[in-house]
Parts: sequence; structure tokens; C-alpha cells
Amino acid sequence: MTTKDHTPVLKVENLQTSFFTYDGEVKAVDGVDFEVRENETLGIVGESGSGKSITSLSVMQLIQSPGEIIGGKIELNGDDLLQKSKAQFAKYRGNRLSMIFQEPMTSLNPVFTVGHQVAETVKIHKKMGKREAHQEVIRMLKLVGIPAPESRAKSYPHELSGGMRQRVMIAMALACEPELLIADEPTTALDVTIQAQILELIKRLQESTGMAVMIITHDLGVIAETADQVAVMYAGEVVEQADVKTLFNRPLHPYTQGLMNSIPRHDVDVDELEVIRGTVPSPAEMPSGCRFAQRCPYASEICNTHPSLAAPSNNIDGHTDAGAVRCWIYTDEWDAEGNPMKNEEVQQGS
Amino acid sequence: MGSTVNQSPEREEFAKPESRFKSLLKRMIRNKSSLIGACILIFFLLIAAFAPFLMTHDPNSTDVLNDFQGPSSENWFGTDHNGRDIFSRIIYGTHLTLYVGTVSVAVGAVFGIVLGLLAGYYGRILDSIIMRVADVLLAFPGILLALAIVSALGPSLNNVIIALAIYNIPVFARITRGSVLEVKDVEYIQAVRALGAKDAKILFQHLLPNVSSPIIVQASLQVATSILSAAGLSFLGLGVQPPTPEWGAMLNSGRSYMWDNPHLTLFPGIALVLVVLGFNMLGDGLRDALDPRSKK
Amino acid sequence: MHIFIIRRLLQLIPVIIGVTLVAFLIIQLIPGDAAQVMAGEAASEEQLEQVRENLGLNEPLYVQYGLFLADLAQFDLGESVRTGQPVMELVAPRFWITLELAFWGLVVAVSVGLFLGILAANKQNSFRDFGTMAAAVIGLSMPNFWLGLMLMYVFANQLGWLPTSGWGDWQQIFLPAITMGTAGAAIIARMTRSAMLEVIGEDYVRTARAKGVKERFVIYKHALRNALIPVVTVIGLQFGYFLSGAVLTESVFSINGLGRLVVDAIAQRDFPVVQGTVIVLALTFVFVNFVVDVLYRVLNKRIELN
Repeated sequence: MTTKDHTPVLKVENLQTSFFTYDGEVKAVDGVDFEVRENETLGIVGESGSGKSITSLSVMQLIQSPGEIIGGKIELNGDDLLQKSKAQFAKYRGNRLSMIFQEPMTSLNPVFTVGHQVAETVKIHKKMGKREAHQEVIRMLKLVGIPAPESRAKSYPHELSGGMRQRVMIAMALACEPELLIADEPTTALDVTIQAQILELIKRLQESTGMAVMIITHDLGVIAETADQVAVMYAGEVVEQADVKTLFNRPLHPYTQGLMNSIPRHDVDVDELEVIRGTVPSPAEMPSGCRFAQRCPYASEICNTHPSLAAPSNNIDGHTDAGAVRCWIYTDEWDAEGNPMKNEEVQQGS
Repeated sequence: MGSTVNQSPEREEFAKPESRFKSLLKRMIRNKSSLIGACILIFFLLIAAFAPFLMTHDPNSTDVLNDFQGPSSENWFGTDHNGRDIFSRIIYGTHLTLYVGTVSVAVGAVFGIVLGLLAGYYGRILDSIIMRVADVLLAFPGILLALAIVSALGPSLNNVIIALAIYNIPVFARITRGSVLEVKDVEYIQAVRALGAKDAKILFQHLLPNVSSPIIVQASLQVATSILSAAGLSFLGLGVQPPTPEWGAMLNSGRSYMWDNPHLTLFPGIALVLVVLGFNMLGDGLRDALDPRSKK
Repeated sequence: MHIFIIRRLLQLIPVIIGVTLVAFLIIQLIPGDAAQVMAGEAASEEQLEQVRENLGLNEPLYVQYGLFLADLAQFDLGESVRTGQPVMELVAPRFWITLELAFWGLVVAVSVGLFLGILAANKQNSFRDFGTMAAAVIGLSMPNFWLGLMLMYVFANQLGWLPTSGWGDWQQIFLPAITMGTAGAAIIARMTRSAMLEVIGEDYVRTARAKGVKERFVIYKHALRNALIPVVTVIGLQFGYFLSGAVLTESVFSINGLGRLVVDAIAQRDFPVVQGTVIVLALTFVFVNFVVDVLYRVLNKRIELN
């Protein structure tokens, strides 16, 4: 990546978000680090319950009680976001960083016209007057590819299709040219053909504005199509981080490998898709060691100790630009503990 | 919340009656509103039951020389315009209030539930007729229907009960019918039907227990409303007649002397508020405890 | 929409007929000789016959009801057996007083209820929420006539701020309006709270926050607009209950509205007046419910996802 030396647009360090329920504290996000650069797309992938959505909501500070960000640092172009007051941060939301959601069906307010809802953003952040805002709305709706924007602006959300509504959401999110766009499962609720259009649209808009994009998804197909960098999340942690090519060519973490094996591929002929055994451990019985150990085919004694996210130094077959992985296999301790492992075995997924 | 929260709705719905009752009791205790409501009601039930031992004076003995006394150690709540002890009259009146409220609701509920079950289960013309009649009765807002009925029948305790029972019938018919429509087509009921059970058996043995939750909640709230209505009718002089120490009637006779002797209206009113509060809180609490959606 | 209104209007027909039938049957419920009851113990045989003649009590029941309906269709509610005045003349001026009273009661109920409901929902499970909801259940449990008496004692008698009774001056509005509106305010507060809590969890509220809308506007603009839709129904129902609540409130504050009229008529066994008042109140209630239904439908139309 050529942008590597720039300061990142978004820098998240040791983010911790917990939910305080009757059954005790649930650490939904537990020490997550990542960066997103200008013009770059970070894909965060994981199963439901992995904490990926909570991570994105934490960045937007949209975590509702009983949830709370209890630690870490979130910087937007060097600006420490968690230090801002509520009112200060409200000025950033929808302006410097904005977000689109999974459910375009329910994410727009049913009692206001879509034009009104898009206009609201520019009125708040750009202090535009009514007429000016209206012009801007039309321009934005046109930009996101909504036909007949003049009349569509007067429509209520229920009069639009899911794809159109997601375009409205995008228009709303991008109206103030944010530095960062967070898209939480932006295409999950849409038809396949519409999915591609929406992803294409986001990509096109990114190219013209240079914004950083964070895409949260459970769908590796979406990652492959859009992301430059990928973070794989599992049980509240990032378990592997790499650029998209490296990740797809050589997934390191056994969980990532499992994810890859569970998607159908057209270049390889398989009779049966593998699935990852078991389920994500519930917060109450979260193991103190590696959180994937219970489901991991390679788990061994050492996995009872919690591994850290680090550049692999072992068992990687000469790859150096491999990002980071949270697995003992790729540490020197693995062999030292008497767990010799052939590379082919580890990397059977690639 | 604890383990009952996580029970699946199926288990909840079709569990055995005893365990349903037990789990209801457990949830009631956990729910503060219903617990407080139940405590208030038990308090008044005890007062009603032990009234003869609690009364410090004969509630009906007049003492003209001792009228309009303020609260004192002798007459805790003071005396009224006839020198009667207000405390004892309130104690004595407790059972009347509870009686009017519960009996009118019980009678109304029995008719209403049966009609609601029939309407919901058989549907079609029977449903239309029953529900149109209910619509008509519910078109009379608040106590208007009871007022009209009592006006014709004449003022008396029993007529108030009859009027309020009629007023309660459509309320229960509607709520029962709605619940029946919800559970009528679940597999369990269909299975019983397929096994050739008689309609009466299906209605009362299988449907009724499954629609009982909203009915219980409504009953509690409806007792509160009925007590208020009965007191209102008495206040208008259309209910229980003086000198019977019914709270509404006490308020009616006390209002004439209120300027100088507010205690005549203050204490019966407070008693009334507390009893109604008890039923309302019990009903609210039961609704929260029984409603799976509100158990967040 | 038009089809909905027409269908809903057609549904009103059996209800209206039913209401008139029930009101008509009131006289049949009178135990013993209705004419005797109305004319009084001391009435002579001629007087009784006169009453029977006037009310058509000698005709078969269905003929009586037919005549009753025919009169009603011409806005004729019969005559008072006491004064011989047309019931319509007695009802019409008092109807406006009661309507006015119900309106002010509704103003209190809606403004206080919405305010408290939003206040409580804003800080769910806080002391404020708990306090507001406790006040609401107490307000709901208070007999309004007793509340009226207490308000009257404190504000008119002890403090002397407001007149004790009557209707006409603006000062005379406060106490009856509060008396009428308290229970309604409690119900609306509870309803608003639960509707707000439901709406606050919606995706579009999160979207509003994500846009940078100030929290105040998130609540009062985005959430409240949606929460109000179910509350409208409750408000409509409340208006109906105020019509019957007026019976007690008017009695407490000596307001010469329909409530007083019906209570006095009952005391004088003047059943045509009772019937007429009951019909007017019930039909007004039916009409208000119809309007609310249509209004709800209009408000809700946008929300329905197809």
C-alpha cells in the first residue's frame, strides 16, 4: 500500500466495550486495535456475536445502555474522539464520520420524507438554509443514482424499495463528505443484484472523495470485492489482520481458515463444504486462554494461555508480509512446547 | 432476571396448571408493583375480615352532641355530622367496597368469558352478533351505562352490582375472544381437536387455561375501575343509601360539611384511593410478569 | 382511504341503532309501572294515563321503538315529563358546556400526560421514571370526584385562589379541568412512556443519532413523532371517558352541563331526559372514536411496510 506512511484516518487502540447485564459484564469488544487510512477500505469480518457491529457502533459512540465503552482510544485524524463531550461529538457524527446500517427498511424514519431526512444532515452540519439544502439533497440523490431525484425527495421511505432506501442512506451519510464511512452489513438485507450495485456505488464514491471506509460484514464475498485490509474478529477480539490478498491466499488463523472453507468456491471442486464445529462460546463461559481453542482442530496445551495479536514468526513458510495473527501456532513457543506442525497441515485451507 | 425468563413460550403456555400457578406466583413476588399491590389488598382483606374486632365504635350509633369532632385519640378519624366515628365506619365499609368490586367483576367476567370463548371459537355469525352487542355496550363511555341501568332499577347495592356486571361483560368478552383467536389455531389445540375432543372440553379445558393470563390481568384492573364506578354512583346518590357506611356515600354526605370539616371527606377518600391503587398495582404487575415481551 | 372511511361508517350503523335501542330499553327496565314511577306516588289515574299517552307506553314495544327512532331521526328526543320542555332544548345548550369541559380536561390530560411520559421515558429506570410512574398509578386510582373536592377545599376554600364552582369565567376552568384530566394524564403518561421506549430502540432513531442530530431533537422530533401515533388512540378514548367523567365533575363543581342534567333527571325520575342525554353522550363518544380511528389510519399509513 502506498498510503502506508500517512497518519491513519481512524486509529483504534485497545477498544473495550462491555454490556452490563443482570448476568454480569459481557465483554462484547475486548481490546481491539486497527487503523484505516485515506482512500482505503478496512473490512471487518466475523460471525454474529463476534463484536464486529459493536466495534463499529463504538466508533460512532452509538452504544446504548447497558453497553458502555470502558477503555481504549479512538482517534480520527489525530483527534481523540473519546475525549469529546457528547455535544462536541454530535457535531462530528454525520459530518466527519458517518455510518450506514444493515436494515434500510427500518433505518429511515417512516414519518418524514427522504428528502427531509437527507436535508437534515446538511442543515445541521453545513448550516444550510432550506433552499440550499434542497439543492444539495437533489445533488446527493442524483449522485447515489436515484432516478427522478426531484420527485423521489418527496417520497416517504415506505414508498421506496430496499435498494433505493440504502442509496438514500448513503446519500445521507455522504452529504457532508465525511473522512470516514462505516458501513455495517450494508448489503445483507438486499437482493444479490442490488448488493453488487450498492458496493459498486460505495467504491465509486470513495474514489471520488478519498474517504476511508470500514465495512462490517459476515460475508467474505463482500470483503473480497471491497476491502484493502481485513480484520477477522472472533469473540470480541481481532484474531487475524492482513491485507486482503494475503488473507485470501494464505489465511493463518485456524478460524479464518475455517471461514474460508465454509464458502463455496468455483475454482476448486469440493463435494462437501466444511463447517466450523461448535459455536461461539457464550460470554459466561469465555475461556481464559485462546477463545477459539474449543473449536480449533489444532488446539493444544499452550492454547490455555491467551495468545496475543502479533506478526507471525513461525510456521509461515517464508512469508513476511503476513499481517498479524492471534494464534500460538505462529509463535516460537509452539515448537518449543513440543507441538511440531507441518506447514501443509496448518495451511490446508489455502 | 432469573431462570424463568429464559423459558420458551411453548413450555410456558402448555405447562401444567400447578406449575403455571407456581411460576406466576414467583414472578409476582419478583415484580415490585404486584407485590406492593398484593400487600395493600391483603391489608384491606384483613381489615374486612376482622372488622368487628377493629372497630372502636359502633359505626351506626349517632351521638349528636359529639358531632364534627376532629381526629383525636378517642375518634381516630374524627366524627361525622351525626357524631358517628369515621374510623369505625371506614373499617365497616371496607367489605362493602371489596364486595361490590369483586362480585360485579366476577359476574361480568363469567358471562364475558363464556361469550368471548364462544365468539372466538365458533366465529362467523355467532361471533358477529356477540361482538356487535359488545360494541354497542362499549359505546357508552365509562359509568354512563351503569348510570342508566341504576337510574331505571333504582338505587341499591344489588342494582349497582348488576349494572357494573353488565358494564364488565363486554370488556371480558372482547379480551377473551382476542386471546382465543390467537391460540385457537396453534398445533396443540388442533391436535386435541383432531383427537375428537368435544367442543366444550376444548373450550374450557384447553382454550380457557391458555387465555387466562390477560383475563386475570384485566380482572384486577377491572375491579379497580368497578370500585371507582360504584363509589361514583354512591356519590351521586344512586348507589348504596345512607346510613350504610359505604365510602362513596360517606363522601356524598360529607361534602356538604367539607368547608369546615374536611376530615369527613378526606379519610374515606384516602381509603378508596388505597384499595383502588392495590388492584391497579396488582394488575399492572401481573401484566408485566405475564407479558413475555416486557421481560427485558 | 375513502373505502376505509366508508366501511367504517357502515360499521357505525348497527352500533348507533344498538345505542338507541339500549337507551330506549332503559324505561323497560324500570320495575313495576313506569308511568307510576315517573308521575309519582300521588299521581291520579288521569295523570298516569296522560304520561302513558305521551310516552306511547300503551303501544306494543316494537311500535314504541319505531316511534322513538322516527322522532330521533328528526332530532326529537321527546319531552320532559316534569316540565314538558322538549328534551332537545334542555340538552343542546348543556351539551356545549360539557364539551367545553371535556376539551379543557383533555388539554390538561394531553399536556401533562405527554410531558410526564416523555420525562419518564427519557431516563428509563431512573428515580424520575419511577416517581413519575408511581404518580401516574396513584392518579389513575383516584376517584375524580374526590380529587375535585380536595382541590376545591385547598385552592378555593383554604387558599382562595380560585372560585369554588360554576362555569363561564376563565378562573372557573382550572379546578374542573384538573379534576377531569388527572386520570387521563396518568393513562397518557404511561402510554407515552411505553411508546417512547419502544420507539427509542428503533433503527431510525439510531440513524438520527448517527447523522449528528442533537439528542434533544432525536427525542422530540424523530422519536416522539412516531411514538405519538399509538398515543392518539388513547387520547381519543380519553375524550370519550371525559364525557362520562363530566357527570361527576359537574356534580362536584355545580356546572350546569349534561352530567348535572342527567343526575337531576334521575333524581326526578324524568326518564325521557335521561334517555336523551345518554343517547347524546354515547353518540358523541361513537363519533369521536370514529374520528380517532380515521386519524390513526391516516397517521399509520406511512408506517405500514408492504
